[in-house]
Amino acid sequence: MRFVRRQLLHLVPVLFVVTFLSFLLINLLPGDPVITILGPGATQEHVTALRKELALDEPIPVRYVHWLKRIATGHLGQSYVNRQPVLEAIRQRLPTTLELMILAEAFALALAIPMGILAARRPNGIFDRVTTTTAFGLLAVPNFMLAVVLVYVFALHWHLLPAEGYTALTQNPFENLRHLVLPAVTLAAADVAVYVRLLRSEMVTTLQQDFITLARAKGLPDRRILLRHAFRPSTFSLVTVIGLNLGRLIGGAFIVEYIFALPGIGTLTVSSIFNRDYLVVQGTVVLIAVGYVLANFLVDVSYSFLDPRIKDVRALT
Amino acid sequence: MLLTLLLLVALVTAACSSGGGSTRGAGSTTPTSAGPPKSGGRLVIGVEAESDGFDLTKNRPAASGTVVFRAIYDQLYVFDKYDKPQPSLATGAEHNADFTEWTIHVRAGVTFQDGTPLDAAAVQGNIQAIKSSALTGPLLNPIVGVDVVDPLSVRVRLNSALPAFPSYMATALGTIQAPAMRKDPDSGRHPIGTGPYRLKSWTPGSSLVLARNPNYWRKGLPYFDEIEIRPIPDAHSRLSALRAGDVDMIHTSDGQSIADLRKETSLQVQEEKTGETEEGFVMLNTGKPPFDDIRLRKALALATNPQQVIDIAGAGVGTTADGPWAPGSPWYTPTGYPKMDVAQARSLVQQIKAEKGAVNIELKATADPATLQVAQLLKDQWSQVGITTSIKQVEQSQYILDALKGDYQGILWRQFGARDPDLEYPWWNSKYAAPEGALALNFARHASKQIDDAQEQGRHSDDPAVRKAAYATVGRVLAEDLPYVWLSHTVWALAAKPDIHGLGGGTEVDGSAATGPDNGSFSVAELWRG
Repeated sequence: MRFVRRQLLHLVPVLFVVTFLSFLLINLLPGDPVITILGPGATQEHVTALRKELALDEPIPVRYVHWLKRIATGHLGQSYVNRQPVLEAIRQRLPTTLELMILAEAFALALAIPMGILAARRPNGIFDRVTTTTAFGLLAVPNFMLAVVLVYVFALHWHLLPAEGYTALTQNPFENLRHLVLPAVTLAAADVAVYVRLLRSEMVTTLQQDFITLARAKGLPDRRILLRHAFRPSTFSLVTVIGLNLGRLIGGAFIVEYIFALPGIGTLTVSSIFNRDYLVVQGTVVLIAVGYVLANFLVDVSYSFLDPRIKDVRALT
Repeated sequence: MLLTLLLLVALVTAACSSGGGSTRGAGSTTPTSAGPPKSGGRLVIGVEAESDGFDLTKNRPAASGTVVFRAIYDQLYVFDKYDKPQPSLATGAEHNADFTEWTIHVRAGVTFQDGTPLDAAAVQGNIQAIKSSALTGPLLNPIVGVDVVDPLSVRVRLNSALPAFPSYMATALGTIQAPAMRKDPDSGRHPIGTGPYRLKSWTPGSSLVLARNPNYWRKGLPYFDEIEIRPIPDAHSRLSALRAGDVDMIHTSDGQSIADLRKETSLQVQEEKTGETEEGFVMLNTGKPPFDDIRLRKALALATNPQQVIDIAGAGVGTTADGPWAPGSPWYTPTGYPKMDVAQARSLVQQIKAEKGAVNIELKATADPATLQVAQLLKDQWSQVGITTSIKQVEQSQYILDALKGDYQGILWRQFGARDPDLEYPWWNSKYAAPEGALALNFARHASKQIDDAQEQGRHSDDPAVRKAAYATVGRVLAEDLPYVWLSHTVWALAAKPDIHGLGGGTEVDGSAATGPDNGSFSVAELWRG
């Protein structure tokens, strides 16, 4: 419990730093939300009036403090551009991004775990070499390129899956899944490569340890040794990387959402950056920062499950 | 991280953005006709961008947003296929002898989608709201007041003669929104009009659903029960969505997509043939060095090969421009814009070099790769005559600000698609030019008494021949003074599955042919499937 409390307390300074830096960064970028809203026909008089109305005439630190006060009362503000409450915009977009990320990770792990285990079974064997080559291939292909190829093959050529768009899970679960398969596979591809390589390497090390030799000496079947004895201790690095990978996954989701026209947090953030819609960007940054810290907190917690010695060490400190 | 994101997204948008390269071309496949229109069904349209809202006084619709505006609202007037304003929600209008007062008669028996009747008070409130809006007000400068004459008539008072007033009302400025919207702080998300469709639901960034207005005043319209509009910003994804059958119809101004569509046999394609196209051009700041020197502007125009830009950056779609109007427009006359002449350009550059030293210029472009490609091509062409160009990438919202403030030497730009040339008034008039640093709608800071006089003549005359001659003068002076190095006319195309009909445009209230698609916008009232 003390460990959980301490981890949650870490969240507070992280959020302060992340939100202040993002607030500063987006405000320092060239461009002006007022010009975005008023367009090329803007007059000086209207620019001044709208800047005052949106409180953009105040210094950045003052605006940041106002924003902090609002967020303390649970209000993330309203979009400058379409006046939609930021919380509502996030609520509408979050399920798409969460689903996309969960599905992508599920695809990646479903492929990477068996491939990693089988590759480690006979290092430098045919399967290992094919897996290594495939993994490097997947790493080398940028996800936007892979997306184009997947759309061409599965949507345009075979007409099996939609090329873009989204159907909500609550509206039609089957259509929802169909719309998310190609984006999730695109997002998962690079992760498969990393996870396979990582698991294979950990498994190879584990399989050389004494307790595995003992298990083999006892005559246990190969499958049992791989799955029951070697797999769990070999997932330590994999779990760490899954947690750390969340940042990359979010970045990848931004691009994948754009290509497949998915209404997620990525497209919301990107369009808000282009529109200089500061409050929406701030809202999504808070969400991403909280998500990232919480995910890594869950990873830390999972260590004690994977290896109980971790908990004992923490209890002692 | 945010900057990295911007760069990443810019990479992905490589193929979707349109720079100055696309041009108007010959139409391709003619839409088919399949007997009398059938009612019912659902249509899914893929559009290029999401809108920020649907209140004209608070939001600024691009082509995609205008599609929704035209579905939800009607205008007092609409343009016909010959660019003439025809009554729509108005039944007609009269003017006084000197065109400083216009009395508009409003159609009886029309109700808004919330049940409020359309009357003179509603029209008066609308025009006043549009006039006082920061977004639309500058374009309605000539209006000084609106009075209710009787329950179905309003009188609009102007500060100068304006024979083209019905043309103003045939643009978005003539849009009539329900009085209830003026009291709603969130009106952009709750639009209420008299149009063929009402807003059923809207999830920004995902989809917008329009449902048939059962009380639409034009009996028998619209045909579809429901229309879903999905923003798909990437041009290639939008085309793929149509090919895969995810959407029924798309619009695009992406040169490569249009080139691909021209080869497509399983889809119908309608390239815009009516209305005014926007032009792609290099805008030069004539208010400060180096482009305050006409010789350098001329050298740039003579050294530019717009056809090469179209062929390489626009996938060969379209034709070169010599002014703000395209051949086929009722306002078009040849402008005498200089033809490419590398030797003459080189000689002008030599003269300038002898007087002022090396000729180094800066060209601003947005960060999207298609626009950068245009900038790079121009840089290469200009280097042939001794001009050294540095390309500066600027992000979109800063880009507009730079143009407004005159903080540029040369900048790639796309504009001038208004149906009546008087609506272009502020962009060219010296009253709207200002020194660098002050916001000015005459972005090029080009002041010409000849243009000012011609614009006044065009604004105040009701004789089409006089007006055409006046705007021919504008085109000619622009070609002589060269605040713009013209590149191309923008092409928009609609593409749809073969069973969708009505792409070419519908009918006016009197049954005559209405205008077709206009700068990517189109009416959905008379689309049907069959």
